[in-house]
Amino acid sequence: MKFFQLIKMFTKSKQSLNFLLFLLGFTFIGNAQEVSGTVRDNEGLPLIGATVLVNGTNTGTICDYDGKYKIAAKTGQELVFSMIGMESKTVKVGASNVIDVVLGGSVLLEDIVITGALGLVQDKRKLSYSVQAIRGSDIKNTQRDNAFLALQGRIAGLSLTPTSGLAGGSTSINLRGVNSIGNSNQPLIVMDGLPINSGTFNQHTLYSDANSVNGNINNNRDDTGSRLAEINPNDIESITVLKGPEAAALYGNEGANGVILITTKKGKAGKSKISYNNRFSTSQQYLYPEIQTVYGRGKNGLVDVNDPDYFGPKFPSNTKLYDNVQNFFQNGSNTRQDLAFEGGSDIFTYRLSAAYLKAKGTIPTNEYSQVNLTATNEVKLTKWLKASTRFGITQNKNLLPPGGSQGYLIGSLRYPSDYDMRNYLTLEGDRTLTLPNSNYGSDNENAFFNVYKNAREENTNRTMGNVSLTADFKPWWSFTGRFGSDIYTTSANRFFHPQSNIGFARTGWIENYVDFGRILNTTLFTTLKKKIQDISGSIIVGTSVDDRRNEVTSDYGEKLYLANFNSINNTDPTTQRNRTTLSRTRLMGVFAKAEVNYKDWLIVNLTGRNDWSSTLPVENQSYFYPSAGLTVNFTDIPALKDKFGPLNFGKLRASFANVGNPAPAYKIRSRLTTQTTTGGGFLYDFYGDNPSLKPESVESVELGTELGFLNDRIVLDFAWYSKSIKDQIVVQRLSYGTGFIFGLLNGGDLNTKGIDIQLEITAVRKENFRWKVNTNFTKYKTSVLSLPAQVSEYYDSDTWAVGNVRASAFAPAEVLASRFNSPGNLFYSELNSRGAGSATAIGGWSYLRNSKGNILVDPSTGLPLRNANFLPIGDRNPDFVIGLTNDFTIMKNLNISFLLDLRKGGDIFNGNEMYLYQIGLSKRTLDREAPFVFKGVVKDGKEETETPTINAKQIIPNDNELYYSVAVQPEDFVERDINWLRLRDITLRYEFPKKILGSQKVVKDLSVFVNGTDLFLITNYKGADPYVSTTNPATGGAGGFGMDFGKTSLPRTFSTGLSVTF
Amino acid sequence: MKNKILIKSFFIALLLVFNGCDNYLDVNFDPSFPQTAESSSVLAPVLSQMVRGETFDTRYVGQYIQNWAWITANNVWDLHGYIAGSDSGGEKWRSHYWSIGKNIDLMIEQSSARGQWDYVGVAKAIRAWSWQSTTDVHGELILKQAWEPNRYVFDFDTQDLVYAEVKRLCDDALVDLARTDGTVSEKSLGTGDLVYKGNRAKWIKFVYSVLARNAHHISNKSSYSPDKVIEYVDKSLSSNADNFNVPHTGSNSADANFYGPTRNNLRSNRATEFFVNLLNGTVFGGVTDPRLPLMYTASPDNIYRGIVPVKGDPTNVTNNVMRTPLLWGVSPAVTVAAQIPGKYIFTDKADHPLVTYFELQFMKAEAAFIKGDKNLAYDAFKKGIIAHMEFTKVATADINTYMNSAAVPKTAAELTLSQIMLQKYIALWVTVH
Repeated sequence: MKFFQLIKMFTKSKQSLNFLLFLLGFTFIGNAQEVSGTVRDNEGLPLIGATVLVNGTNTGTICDYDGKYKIAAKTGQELVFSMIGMESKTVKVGASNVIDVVLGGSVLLEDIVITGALGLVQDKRKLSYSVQAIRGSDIKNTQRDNAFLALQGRIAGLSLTPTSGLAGGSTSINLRGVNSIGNSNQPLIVMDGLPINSGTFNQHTLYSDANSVNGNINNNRDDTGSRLAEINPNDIESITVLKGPEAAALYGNEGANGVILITTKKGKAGKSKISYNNRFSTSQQYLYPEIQTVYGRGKNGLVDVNDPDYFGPKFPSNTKLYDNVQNFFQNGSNTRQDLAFEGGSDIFTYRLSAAYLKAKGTIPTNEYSQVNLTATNEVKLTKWLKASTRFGITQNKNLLPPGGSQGYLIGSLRYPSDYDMRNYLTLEGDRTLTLPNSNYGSDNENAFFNVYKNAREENTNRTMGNVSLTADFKPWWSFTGRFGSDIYTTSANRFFHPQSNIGFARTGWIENYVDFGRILNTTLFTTLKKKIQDISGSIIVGTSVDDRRNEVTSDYGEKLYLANFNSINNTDPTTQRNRTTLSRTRLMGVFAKAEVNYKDWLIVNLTGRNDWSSTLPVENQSYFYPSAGLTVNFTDIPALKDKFGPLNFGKLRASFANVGNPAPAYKIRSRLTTQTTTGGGFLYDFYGDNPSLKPESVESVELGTELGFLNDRIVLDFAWYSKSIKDQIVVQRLSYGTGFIFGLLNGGDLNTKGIDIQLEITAVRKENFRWKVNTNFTKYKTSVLSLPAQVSEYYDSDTWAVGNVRASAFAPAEVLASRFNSPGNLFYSELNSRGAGSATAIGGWSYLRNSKGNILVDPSTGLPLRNANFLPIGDRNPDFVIGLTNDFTIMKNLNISFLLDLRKGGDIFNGNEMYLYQIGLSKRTLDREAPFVFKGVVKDGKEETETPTINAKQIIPNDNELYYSVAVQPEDFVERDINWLRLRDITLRYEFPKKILGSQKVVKDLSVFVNGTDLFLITNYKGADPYVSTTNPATGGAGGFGMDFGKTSLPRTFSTGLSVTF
Repeated sequence: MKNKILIKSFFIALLLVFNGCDNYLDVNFDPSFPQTAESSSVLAPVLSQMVRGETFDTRYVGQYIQNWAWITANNVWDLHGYIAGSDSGGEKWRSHYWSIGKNIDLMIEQSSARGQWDYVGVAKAIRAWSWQSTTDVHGELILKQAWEPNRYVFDFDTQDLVYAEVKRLCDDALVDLARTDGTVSEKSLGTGDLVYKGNRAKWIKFVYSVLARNAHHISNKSSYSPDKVIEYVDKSLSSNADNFNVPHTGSNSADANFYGPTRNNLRSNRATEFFVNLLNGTVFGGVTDPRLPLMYTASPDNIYRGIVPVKGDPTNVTNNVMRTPLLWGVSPAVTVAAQIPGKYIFTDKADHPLVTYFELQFMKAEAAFIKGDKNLAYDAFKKGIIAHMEFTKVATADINTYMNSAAVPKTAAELTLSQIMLQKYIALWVTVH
C-alpha cells in the first residue's frame, strides 16, 4: 500500500516531517515487531488519521482510511492513541498483537479541524477566544446551494438573512451585532488562508442609478447574485467561524466584523477515489401576503375609470375573479451534480472536483446555473518544503426578475382580480391595459409582462487561485508563504420594454454593465517554537499585503427602435450614456503573535498588528492594534485534576482586542461627477470630503467558559462579550450648509453586548442508536450611545423602500426626548422609546399626539394627523435566537438530522401590508363601509388643556379613501414581538451497509437521501414569511432585515439524491 | 550557521516587501472621477444648476402667485401650504449651497491660479446672483458659517447681511471682469460660457442686473434708493439680446428644459383664470392681448380658459370641448411627450431666461414711479411691454396696435403702479421674479 510506503519513507529520515506530524512534534524510528488493529470512534466509524505512538519513543504511525494501523512495538510497551479533538487513550501491548481501540471524545469537535488565526490548525482547548466550526459534510447535507445559508442556527452569534427567495439570490451575514452603522458588517471570508470576494454587486455604481432613471434600484429592488453563492459546498472540508475581534485581530482590515474561514478539501494519499453526488429538487412558494377581492377599483366607493386603487364599489356578484398571485408563481426545480477525483502518493496528492447546478426559481424566468471546477494539489518539493496549489473556476448565469415596488410580488398582488393576469398581451402583441384612459406607465403593472418582457441577466466568470509554500527548516522553525488571487467579471444586461411600467417614460431602456473585481493577497510569516521545561512558547512574525480593485462600467441607452430587441444598438444613439467607477485599495500590515503555554493549562496569547492603509490621509495611514488572551484549563491543573466529579473538562478564557478598520477609497477628497445637463461638464458629487479621516476602532472584551461533563456527553460553551465601537466612518446626511448632501465623518459610539451559548448533548450513545442534540443560542443588542454630528437618526436611503419607513439607528431616548419636545413635534415615549438608542431600529412617521399621548384629529376631516418626523417606531433586533439540531443515527446506516430555528421577539415592518392597505387591497380594509370615529382628541387649540375635545366626528372610510391612503401611519404596520419557529432543514440519509455492497470492488460507498428545506413556519407574524431583507448586502450598516416588502422568502424545497464513491 | 543565514534572508525579504511602501499606497485618487477640474468644465453645468434651482421651485411658487394651479381641488401648494416631510420646494436652497455651492469656490481657486480673471469674475457674479435669488425665496440664510469645514449645525443670518454680501461680491466681480491681464480671453471664457459666449461686457451687465435686484427688492424699506436702481438698470441689460438665456439641448430628460414636455413637470398644472383674464381683455379694457395665442392655448371650443386655484379643473373630462389645455398647448389627452411640440417657453429646447431686459425695465418703471418721475416710469413701462412682446415674437404691427389700445395708458400721468405690476406679471409669467 502506498500509505505504508509513505510511512517507510518517514522512517528513513529523521528530518522528514509532514505537516501534521510536525505539529504533533514526532519523528520516527524503525522497529521490527508488528502490532495492528483498528481505531474507531464512539459510533464505530473508523478514525482516519488518528495517530498511534509508542509511549516514550519516537515511533508512531497514522491510521489509514479504514482506521487501520500497523506499528512495531514490544510487549509491555504502551501505545498512545490520539486524534485532534478527542480524548487520548493509552493501551499496554499484551500477548495479542491485535489492539482495537475506541476513542471517545469531545463531541464538540469530533473530527472538525479548528482553524485559528492565519489559517493555522489549532487545538481548540488552547484558544482564548470563541470559535465554532462546522464540517463541510454537515453543510453539504443541508442541500443548500449557497453553503452559507446552512450556517444560520448552526453557529451561535451568527445572523444570516437572505435578501429574497430567488434562485441565485444573495444573503447577508452578521456576527455579533452591528459593528458599523454605515459601512459593511460582513465578516471577512478567508479561504485556505487568503481573503476572497464575498460581496454583492452595488447598484449605485450604475449609470441608471446615478442618474435616477425610473427603475433604478437602490439595492432595494433586485436581488442580485452574491459572490458567496459561488463556493462549491462539495469543496468545503470545514468552516470555522472566528466570532469576535479577538480572533480576528491578526487579519486586520475587516477582521473587526469577525472572520469565516473556509478550509477546502485536499486530496489524500492512497488509492484513487471517485465520488459522485446528485440531487433533484422541487420547490414551491406557499406563503403570500393576502389581498381582498371584494372591492374593485375606483375612488371613494364609486367607479372612477382613472383610479388604479381599490376604493371602488364591490365587484358585481357574477364577476369572474382570478387568483393572479397563485397563477403567477410556479414550482421551482433544481438539479445538482457533483463529481470529484482524489488520490496521490507520498509526495503528491490531488483533488479535482466539478459541480453543475441548474436552479429554476418559483418566479417565472428566474433561473440560476453554475459550473464549478476546482483542482487542489499538494506536493513535497524537498524533505522540508511543501507546496500546495488550489485553482478554481466558477461560471454562473443568473436570470433575476425585479423585486420591490415595481417587482414581481407587488405586481401580482396589485393586479386587478377581475382580470386574468396571464393574458398579458393583446392579440396585436401589445401589453394589455386594464383602465380605459391609462397608459403603459400608469396602468397596473402586469407581473407576467414584467418578468417576460423585461430582463436582467448576469453572467459571472470567476477564477480563484492560491499557492502556498510551507518550509519546515527545523522542528522549531518554519515558514509559510501564501499568494492568492480572486478575480471575477460579471457581464450583465438590464432591459426594460417600452410598454412596461418602468420602461414607458423612456420608450424602453437598456443598460449593459461589466463588474470586475480582484483581490490579490500575499501573506508571509515565520513561526519559532521553544520549550524550556514545563513552559513552551511560540512566536509568529509576518506580513501581509492586500490589493483590491473593483471596476464597474455601464452603458445605457433609451428610446428603443424595436420594442423587443435587447441590444444597446437598438437604442437612440443620442441617448446613449455610460459611466465607469474604479476603486483601488491597498493595505500592508506586519503582525506578530506570541504564545506562552504552561503545562497546557495556563496559556497566554499576545498579538499586535500594524497596518498602513491607502485610503487614509498620509498622517493617519499607519495604525496599530493589539489583542491579549488568557486561557485556564482548570481541570488540567495537576493539583485539581479529577476533583470535579462529572466535569471532565473545564476551561475559563478571557480576551481583549482592539481592531482598526480603514475608510473606503477616495474619501479624503471630494470627487466631481459627470453632468448630463446641457453642455456637460463636472460638478461636485453628493459626498463631502474629510481630509482628517481616522480608522474606525472596535474594542472588544470576551469572557467565556467551556465545560465538558460525563466524558463530554454534555459540552457547554458560553461566551459573554462587550464591544465598543468608536470613530465610526459614517456617510451622514447633513445640512446643505456644509456644501454637500452627505458628509463623511468619524464619529458616533456604539456598544454591543451579547452572549453566545452552545450546548451539545449526546443524549443516547448506543451501538445502534445515537441521538445528539445541539443547541446554539444567540443574543445580542447593539446600542447607540451617540451618533456622528449630533444627529438624531442615521439611515441609509436604500432601506427606504416603501412609504415613510426606513432602517435607522437612533440616538438614545433621552437625547430624542430633549430634541422633539414641542407640541406637534413630540417624542412620545410609549411608542418612540422602542428603537431609541438602537442600531437596528425602524424609523418612520407616526401619529401626531398631544403630550398625554392622545392622537390628534383634524377637526375638519375627523382624520388623524401625522407626525412627519422620522422617529423610532420599532426595533428589529430579536430578543434571542435558538438553533436546535437533532441528529439520530439508527443501525449505523440511517441518519436523520433536522434543524429548528426559534426566534423570540423583535419587530418587523410589514411593508407589504402597508402598501396594500394604502391602495385598498388589504383585507383589513374590508370594514370600510362601517362608520366609525377615530379615537383621539381634536386639534382645536384645547388639545393640551385638561379638557381636550374628544373626537366625535364620524367617518365612513368607503366614502373617504384618504383615511387609508393618507391618514393611517406606518406605526400601525410595525408588528411587535414577532416570534417564529421554522424547520430550516431535515435530511434523512441511508448508507448502504458494506454487506449489501458485497464483495464487488467498484462501489466503495453508496448512500441515498431525501431532504427538505424551509418546510414549515409557525409565527405570530400576520404577513407572509418575513425572512427577507429590504436591501441586498451591498448596502452597508445593519442591513434591511426585519423589513418585509416586495419580495418572497425562501420557498419550500424537497430534494432527493444519491452519493456514491468508487 | 545555515539557520542564521536563512533567518537573515527572511528578514531581508521582509524589508524588501516594505521598500517602496509609500509609493505602493499612493493610490487614493479616483481614476474614474476627477477630484478637481478646470473652470471651463464646471461653468456649463453650474449654469444649468442655476436654472434647475429656479424652475424646480417655480412650479410651486407659480401656484402661490397663481400663475397656474393644480387640476384637482385643495392642492396643498394652491392653499399656500407645503408637503410635510418632503423636500419639494427646497431645490433653490439645495442648488445655492450644493450644486452651485462649492463649485464656485473650485472655479475661483482654479482660475485664480491660472490668471483667468474672467472666470473668477463670472464665478463671483453667479454666487452673488445665487445669494440674491435664494434670499428672495427663503429669507434668512446660513451666511457666515456656510461651507465651513467640520461644522454640522448652522446658524441663520438675517437678510441685511445677505444683501450686503451680494453687494460686496458684485463689486468684486466687477473688478475681476474688468481685468484684461493674465489669461483672460473671450475664447477661453467662451468654452464654458453657454450664455454669453465669453462676452465679458454682457457679464458686467449681468452683475448690474443683480445689483439692480439687490437695490430694488427693498422698495418698502426706508433705505430704498430709486436712483440707485435706475443707475444699475441703466448699466445692465440693454436689450433682449442681453438676456441671461440658459440654453437647453432638449435631447433627453437631463438636458431638456424643465418646463418642456419631455420632463412632464407641468402635466397637472393649468393656467389660472387670473392669468387668462389679464390677456383676454377682462382686465385691460376689453383689449385682447396679441400675446394670448402665443403664450397660451384655447380649449377645443376656441375659448381661452384658466382655472380657479384650489377648485381644481372641472373641465378635465375626456372629449370635453371646454377642457382646459396643458401649458404645452395640447389637450391633456395627449400623453406621449414626443407628440407634444410645446408652446411659448414650455418646450424642450427653449432657452430659460433667468434675467431679462424687460424685467429690468419694469423695475426701472417701478423705481421711477416711486421716485415720482412718471415720464421715466412711463418710458420704461412701454419698453418693458414691447420687449416682452418681442420676446414672445408678436408681430410688430400687433405690438403697435396693442400699444395704442385702451390696454396701455396714453400718457405718463395716467400710469398707475398697478398697471406696471400687472404688465410685469404677464412678462414674468413662468420666470417668476
